[in-house]
Amino acid sequence: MKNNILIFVIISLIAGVTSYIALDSLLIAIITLTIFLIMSIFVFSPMISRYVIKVKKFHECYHFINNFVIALSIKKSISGSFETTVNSMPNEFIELCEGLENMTEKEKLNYFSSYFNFYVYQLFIQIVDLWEDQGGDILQMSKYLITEIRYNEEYITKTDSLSKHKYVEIGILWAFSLLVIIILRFALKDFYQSVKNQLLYMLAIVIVMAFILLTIFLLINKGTSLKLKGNNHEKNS
Amino acid sequence: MKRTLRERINSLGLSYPKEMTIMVMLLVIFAIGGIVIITFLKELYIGIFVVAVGPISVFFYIGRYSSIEKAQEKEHTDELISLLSYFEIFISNGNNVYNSFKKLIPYTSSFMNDAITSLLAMIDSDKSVGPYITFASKFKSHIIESLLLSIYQMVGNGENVSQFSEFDILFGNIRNNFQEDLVDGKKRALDTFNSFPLIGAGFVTIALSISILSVIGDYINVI
Repeated sequence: MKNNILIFVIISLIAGVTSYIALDSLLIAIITLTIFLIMSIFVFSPMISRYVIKVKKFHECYHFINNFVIALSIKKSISGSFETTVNSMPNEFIELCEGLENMTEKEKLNYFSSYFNFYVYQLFIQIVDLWEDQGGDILQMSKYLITEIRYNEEYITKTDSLSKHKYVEIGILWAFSLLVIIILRFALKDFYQSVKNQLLYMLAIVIVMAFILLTIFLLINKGTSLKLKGNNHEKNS
Repeated sequence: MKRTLRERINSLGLSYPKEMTIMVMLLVIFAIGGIVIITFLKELYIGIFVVAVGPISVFFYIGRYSSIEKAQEKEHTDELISLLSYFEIFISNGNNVYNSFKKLIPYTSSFMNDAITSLLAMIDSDKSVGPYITFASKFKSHIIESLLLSIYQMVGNGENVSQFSEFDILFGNIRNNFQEDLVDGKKRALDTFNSFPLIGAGFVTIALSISILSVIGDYINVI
């Protein structure tokens, strides 16, 4: 989260400085910097945070289901398997469980449906219910579910790495484009005093800055979209 | 069978009156713009051009229905493939085909909910392959028909998904392709952003060139 904000502050500073160099106007540079910072803090950062939380929860969900199924196949008891599984989870999750002391292990499993808000977790609950009612080999019963979750995990890993590569690639391309603007400003210094007051040139710089913002928005929007089925996930995925 | 525009708009889940209002507004706005240019600026050809933009924009507006239709068809097929993963889980845990479809309903969109509900109603009255083919006909992809036929085969073969059942083999391949398509789709979507910085740099260069030419023009006039 802190890293994201730092990156966005650097991008905002670059945009502000480029506007100042290109237009020689402190006012436009400050306006550019302010708009970039506002968009970063109120739009871009929350978009990334939501995505990071969603991915983290899915990883936890996968880890939880996988460990629970293995533990259940060995211990043959929901309470014992639950305890083993929770102990293997991150501290944050253990703290969440500590707040549910009055519930039975089965109730806790059901309660986590609202935490792991994915359809695969609901299917997992159905399989555990079935195992409780009829017994059987839990590893065999959850074979297809684990396969499905593994597919989703692979999808997340691949698309996440793809998005990160693309952020860097587009960032470098934009850096070169801004460099072109700065170089032109110094290379054409004889004309610059006349050109900087031309409305068309001023508009072009302002439009480019707006275009950078639009690129960042669309890139994050596309990069953070995930097709993971679950309650309330469809709309923002 | 040729559908009317109203039927087409309704089938996309859009409001016919709202869509017609937008189209009429487009025609009216460009017509008024054209008349203003002809009347006040005395530019006949530009005015006619602006008026003509109205019907062209309506043509493109209607043209977007095809892409919405394609996107919806893909969305429905993708949803069914995702749901069949859940179907596989249900059937491997001892549910029959009918119950497995029934158990899918809480995880469906409204389109799929209607489609599965009508499939179940058809199965109630017709035990042949008919309901499965009718259900598959709601999707453009032929692979869906093969999948539904393999599910029907399961009904006759003890309703269990095994490692060697046709459904398991067929669906395994489809799911692998589906997974690759998802990643490829995202890659393609992200690749479109490559051109953005070039457009930005090109735009500034053109604006700068025009500004410099304008400045040079001013110098020449002074001389």
